[in-house]
Amino acid sequence: MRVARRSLATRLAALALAAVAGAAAAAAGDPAAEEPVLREAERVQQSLVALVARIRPATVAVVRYLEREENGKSIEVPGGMGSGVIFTRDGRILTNVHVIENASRVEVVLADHRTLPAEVVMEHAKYDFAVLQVKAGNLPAAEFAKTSLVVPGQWAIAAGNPRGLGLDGEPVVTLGIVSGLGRVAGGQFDYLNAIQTDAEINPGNSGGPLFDLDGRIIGINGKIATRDDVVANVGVGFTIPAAQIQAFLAAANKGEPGYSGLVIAGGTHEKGGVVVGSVIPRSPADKVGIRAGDRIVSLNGRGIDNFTTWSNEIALLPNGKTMSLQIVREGNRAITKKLTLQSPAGAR
Amino acid sequence: MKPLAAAAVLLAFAGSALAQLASLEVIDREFAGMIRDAAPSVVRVGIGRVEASGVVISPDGFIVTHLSVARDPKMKAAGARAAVTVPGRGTLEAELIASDAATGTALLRVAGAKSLPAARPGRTEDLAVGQFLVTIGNSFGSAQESQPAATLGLLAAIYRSADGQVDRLESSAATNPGQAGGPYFDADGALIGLARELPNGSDLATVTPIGRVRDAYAGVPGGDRLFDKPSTLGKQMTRARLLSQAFAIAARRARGGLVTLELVRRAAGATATAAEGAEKKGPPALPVRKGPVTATLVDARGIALAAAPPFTDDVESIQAHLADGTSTAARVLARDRKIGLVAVILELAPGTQLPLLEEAPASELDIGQFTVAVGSPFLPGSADPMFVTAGLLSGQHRLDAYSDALETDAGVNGKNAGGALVDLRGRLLGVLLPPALPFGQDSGLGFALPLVRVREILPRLLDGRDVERPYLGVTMAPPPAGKKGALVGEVAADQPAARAGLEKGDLITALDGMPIADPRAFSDYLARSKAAGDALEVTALRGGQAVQLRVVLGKRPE
Repeated sequence: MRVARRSLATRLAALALAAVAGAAAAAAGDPAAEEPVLREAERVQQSLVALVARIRPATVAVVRYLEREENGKSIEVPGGMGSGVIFTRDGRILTNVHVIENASRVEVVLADHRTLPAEVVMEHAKYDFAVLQVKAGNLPAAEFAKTSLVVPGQWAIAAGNPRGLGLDGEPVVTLGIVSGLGRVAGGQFDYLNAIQTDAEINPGNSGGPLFDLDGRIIGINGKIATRDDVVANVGVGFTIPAAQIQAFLAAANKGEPGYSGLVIAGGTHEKGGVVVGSVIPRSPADKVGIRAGDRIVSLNGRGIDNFTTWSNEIALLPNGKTMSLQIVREGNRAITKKLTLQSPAGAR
Repeated sequence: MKPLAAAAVLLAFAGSALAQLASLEVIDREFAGMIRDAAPSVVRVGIGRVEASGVVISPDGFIVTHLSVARDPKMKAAGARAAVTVPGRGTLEAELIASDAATGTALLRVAGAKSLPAARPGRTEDLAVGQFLVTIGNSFGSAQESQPAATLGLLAAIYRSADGQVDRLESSAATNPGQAGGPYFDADGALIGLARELPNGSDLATVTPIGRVRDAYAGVPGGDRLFDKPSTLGKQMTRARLLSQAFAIAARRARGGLVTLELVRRAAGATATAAEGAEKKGPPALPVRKGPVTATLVDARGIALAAAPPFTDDVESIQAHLADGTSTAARVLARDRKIGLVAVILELAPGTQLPLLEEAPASELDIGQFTVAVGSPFLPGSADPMFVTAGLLSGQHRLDAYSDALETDAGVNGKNAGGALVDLRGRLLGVLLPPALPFGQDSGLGFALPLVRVREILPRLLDGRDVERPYLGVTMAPPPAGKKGALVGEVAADQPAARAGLEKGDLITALDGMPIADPRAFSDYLARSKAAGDALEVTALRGGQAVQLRVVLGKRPE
């Protein structure tokens, strides 16, 4: 029902647009001809304003405190800040690990101007996302977007606390588009499957949400490309996708990357796929008989073109998930291997 | 359906949640569709040390890319081939057919290609400052193993050659290393230009318009087949095109209320060199524009506000060029140093009517509304007369003394600082402040002084008095729980507060008889209503007793 009504509204809007088309073509400094164009644009604006009013309350500023030794005494000092997004009404908040790591204490500033202490309840040290818990109820939580439906070109709004501007409980919103998908960016953390956006992201935006035009969380912003050693936005930001976060939130050992025991030789095979360099003894991969030299060409039905697609696919698989691998062995023999990812501690 | 009937439908749905939902959905669908259609023509080009972008312009293999591809030593070798990565077709080899220094482009051809996905060319003549642009390219080498990246911006400026032809464009869409030679598309997905120079100083990415590329290679064998896809414009008015037009309309309207200030400087001599040498110490400074600058008319008596940094000591005289083509002399009236604006006064003939911009009603200000940042940094004749970026009203924030500075993600740099931040109707929201560290320029954290604050500083500026922020010499803390006021922390010795007898621990409850809720209200009142030299009546609680003090505000010690 909802879908049908939406499409009716879309069609009606399209009709109205067709009506202003003629007038718009003539619009060149003639206020009367410009009016229909501006009215339509203002309708879009009205929708955006309503959306922003919905998404800002779910956005928080995160403040980290660090303990430091000074004159033999331990003192607490403010040690950086970031952003976060409320994703459950009972006070769970997503942020980046790099925003809260080594904190002696964490505080969040809500968009209703309250400052609350927060407890770190989960850290994914490899993929740079963490979950905080605040003691508060009935919070304005945002829902996750479906990552598989995110496409380049769709509009996106980043919200957060760039340069501390959101510490007053007034989150900052910036508009852009989804620039690309499946980005890989290294560093202290592995950004895999990252969504690239040109919505302006600056220091302090880390951990904050990227929203779609439905007000759903596309992912959390954690990294930007920079030029000339200046740490400021250049239109290239990287967002950890909701699907990756959700996969690990649902897994048993939330903070652990999925463990297969496969060591990929690195790089892309000339015929496509990636080559197994070695297999760790007694690991899940070892137990099903995968060998060094095997060339993996597909994972769970997804073609593995290159090392990038491989890295992106495994980043979505926590322990407990199954890998179905299409393998080419000794140049021509096609085999299928199935294994369940399992933490090294439990694999023995 | 007749237009009238359609308008009725529109009215019926205006404001309904359903219609709002539909309008945003349509935007996503249109932009995603446009990029999906345009992206297959975008290629990555690599040779030697060059990592660039390019675009397929004929199904039989002609590709335009950046001049640097032709200039690489490896390309000059006999039989050299550049690696061209075509989405979904892998990496192909292309030979150099021609290059053209004037447009900064090179023409390649993939031998034997038959059905490459070619871009549909747009018309350079139809370009308007303020319209949408999308660029797609190999940013930071992203297209080597993944899709190229798409970024959205506006056509920020159009530069013309002496004969009036469109020579060069400037785009606010993010353009980064690896994107030289990358294509720019309009809201309909038509190819309108190629990245020529990456952002540098106050310049955004500069773009060679497609018309010039076409002319440059018309004589090449097979050149008649270039750009041979018909330039069709969809009959349906898409929302993307409509928004694109709205930004252009806002920019054109705003331009009327701007002036271009030509700063005539003393010839660069020993002093200038010394100054440049001094600048190199310390943290990296933002570039200061040396060319003409933007100013916004704010008062019918001929007062315009401009960004302060270009007004260095070597400025000898100022010529102001109005939007109607007239020019007049101007002089600096006063400065507001802290916020970084100068007021200039134009010498006007009696009876001159200035085209002041209509003001946006402050009550209608919404976070998330569109904002257009318009500048006029060009001398008459050299370019279409404006420089435009756009974004959202991102927030209202404490910036220096102001707690309500307008924050926008529209790019602000030396070209539009001092210009107008306007709404979709071209109505004035505020005056764009010069970019400052740590925010940086074009970083998506730009600020404007809202009109209400402009009006507050205007009387002082009109008197020719510089705005000096008042200084009290105390630190402030929030009031104790359950109380209202500003708690006095440290009191600096021999400064206004100390001289008047304020003490640590005093709870300031009122200023000039106005109740003060917290430290923020305290500094807001000072910023809005006071200047150095003014007197201030302070009501405070000291040990439960009310005390009344009179403070003469000073300047912050150097």
